[in-house]
Parts: sequence; structure tokens; C-alpha cells
Amino acid sequence: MVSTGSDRTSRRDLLIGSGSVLLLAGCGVASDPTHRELSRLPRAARRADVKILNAALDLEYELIAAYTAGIPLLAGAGKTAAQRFLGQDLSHAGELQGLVHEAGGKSNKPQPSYDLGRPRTGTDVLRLLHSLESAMIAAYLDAIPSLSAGHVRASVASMVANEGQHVSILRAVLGLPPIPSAFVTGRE
Amino acid sequence: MQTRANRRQVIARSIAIAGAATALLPPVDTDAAVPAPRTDGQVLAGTLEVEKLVVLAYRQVLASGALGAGIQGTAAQLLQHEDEHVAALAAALRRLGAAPSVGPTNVASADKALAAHQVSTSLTNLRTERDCLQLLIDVEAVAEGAYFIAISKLRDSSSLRLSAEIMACEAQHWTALSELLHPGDLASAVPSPFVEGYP
Repeated sequence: MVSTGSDRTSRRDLLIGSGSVLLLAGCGVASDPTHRELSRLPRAARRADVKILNAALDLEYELIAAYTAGIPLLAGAGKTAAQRFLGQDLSHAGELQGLVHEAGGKSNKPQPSYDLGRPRTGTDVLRLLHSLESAMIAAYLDAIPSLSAGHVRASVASMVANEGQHVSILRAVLGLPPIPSAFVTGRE
Repeated sequence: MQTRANRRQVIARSIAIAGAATALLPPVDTDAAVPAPRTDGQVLAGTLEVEKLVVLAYRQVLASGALGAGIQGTAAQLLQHEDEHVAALAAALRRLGAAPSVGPTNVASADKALAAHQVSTSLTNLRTERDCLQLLIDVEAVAEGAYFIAISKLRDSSSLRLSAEIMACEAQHWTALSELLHPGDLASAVPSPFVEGYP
């Protein structure tokens, strides 16, 4: 599944939605004193944070593309969940874009297309989404200790926790134990 | 669960208040007048205290007899996770050379701790399955909030990772319990893209 062609228009529409989220996030950043913490960091630390946050943003874009391309193949509880999670992952992308800008960086843009394999059934799509959500969690967990500002670490942790919720629902729809471990690592 | 804007406002307010308080203080030369920043051991001890509160709440719920067999099994599995969290945090504190916190030792002190987080549900009023689920949802949100704050303060890499892994597990618990309380209502089970719990 490559997220181009017929689904492209709808993904663009969604990314316009993402732009709105970014605009809102930007407003929050400008008026929120906690965010001054990041702009006060030394330039090298901010540069390092921008690199880490942009790497996470790239994964969020891929996840958004997978949801957008996969939703038409889903039905029932899987479809309802995917539609909700797509909206939440768009919010994550907006938050990451806002944090990158706050650190004085330029946020990465989505790729024109993503090679998402060849899922043919709803179950294939759910497995793909489970795999990408898990990879997102693992990447966020790797990133947290390297981020400089406390509020940025907390913000990323709040997104990891939400991705954990997504994974538990996707697992339940797939017929897997929803909470297989006391520690969410993205490798369950 | 508290909204992101509210939570950010709380953090922003506390920073603004701290700044204003600092501005009002006369200049002093001694370090003793400035409160020392909390160490990683102190921060983790705070999360362990909350975990012990969560464990006590689960034990109280399981002993209440108000749960059906299916939900009793789920709650027992989630309690097992909480016990693992307590063990992991205690090990992390030992590694940091910090003393473990005791946590609430009885129902009255647990209720007092919940009230400090503006939670009105009580460990002593568990008559129905709904009472039990609401209490567990509330204590899971208190745990999420404790980790959310801790992660903004910790510096030690292992402690940060451990806290984030546990926070995500607490969020999964929160979702599972919310689904039991509101079956088929995904909006109640995963309400927000940002999990921050109760302050």
C-alpha cells in the first residue's frame, strides 16, 4: 500500500486539518510561559531537540498516512478506532511541529508517498497500524531521555501514553491481549 | 481526565507564581534560603508513593465483593502490573541510593491522599461495580498525573524511561477500565490525544 493516488486528496485534506492544529499549537506556544523554557536553552541543545522532534514527526507522518490509506479497508470497531486515532495522531503532529518551531527549528514536511506494504484485508491494515504505533512508542521512549527541556519531555510522554492506548485498542480488535505487559516499550 | 490547556495553565501559573514570589523576596546571599531542587530520588519516591496508593485501591476493590467475575479477573491482572511497578520503582530508588517511600498504610490515609488530588471517590464507599470502576479510573488518572509531572523533573535516563513506560501502561489501564464502565464508547475510553492525568 502506497499512500498516493486516490487517497491523496483525502490525506491532503487531513493535513490541512493538521495545519489548523499547528496554528492552534503555535498560538498556545506564544502565550504559554512554560514554553519560554525551550527558547532559553543553549543553541546546541535546541538544535539537538529539533533533530529528535523532527525524527518523531517523520514517524507520525507515516502513521497518519497509514491510517488515511487504511481506513477505507476497515469496518466496524476497527474503522471507528482508526478514525479516532487518526485525529489524535494529527494532533501529535501539530504538537511536534509547534515544539520544533518553539526551539527555533523548521519542522519536516510529510513525504509525498510512503511504502506501506500491500495490506489487502482489514486485519492486514490493523496489523500494520499496530506495528507502526508500536514503532512510534519505541521511538518516543528512546527520545525522552535525550530531550533537554522538562516540559518537552512531559509533552512527549503524554503522547506515548496516548499511543499506548491506541495499541491496546488495536490489539483488542485483533483478538490479542490488550495490555500484555506492565511496561509499555513498543516491543510487545 | 484534565484537558491539556488546563494542565498547561496549572504549570504556567506555578512558574509565574514562583517567579513573582522570587521577585518579592529581598536579595540574600545564603544558599540555605533557596529551596534545593528535588533530586531524582525524591521525585521517584513521590511516584512510588502514588503507586502504593493505587495498589491499596485495587486491593480494596478486589476485597469489596462488588465486582462480577470477569471484571474481578481484569482488576486482578491490572493489580499484578501495579505490583510490578512498585517493585521496579523500589529497585530504581535503590540504584539511586534513595530511601523508598512508605505510601498510605490504611484506607483513611489513602482517602486523604486522593482528596489532595481533588478526587472525591473513596476507598470506603465501594457498594457497586460502578463505584469500584470509578475509583480505579480516578487512581489511574492520579498515577498518570504523577508520572507526567515526574518526567518534566527527572534527569536520570533510566528513571525517565521507566517512568514513561509505566505512565503508558497506566494509560492503558485507564482505557480498559473506562471501556468497562462505558462499553462501546471509544470517545470515553480514549478521550484525548494528550494523556496528562490528574494534577
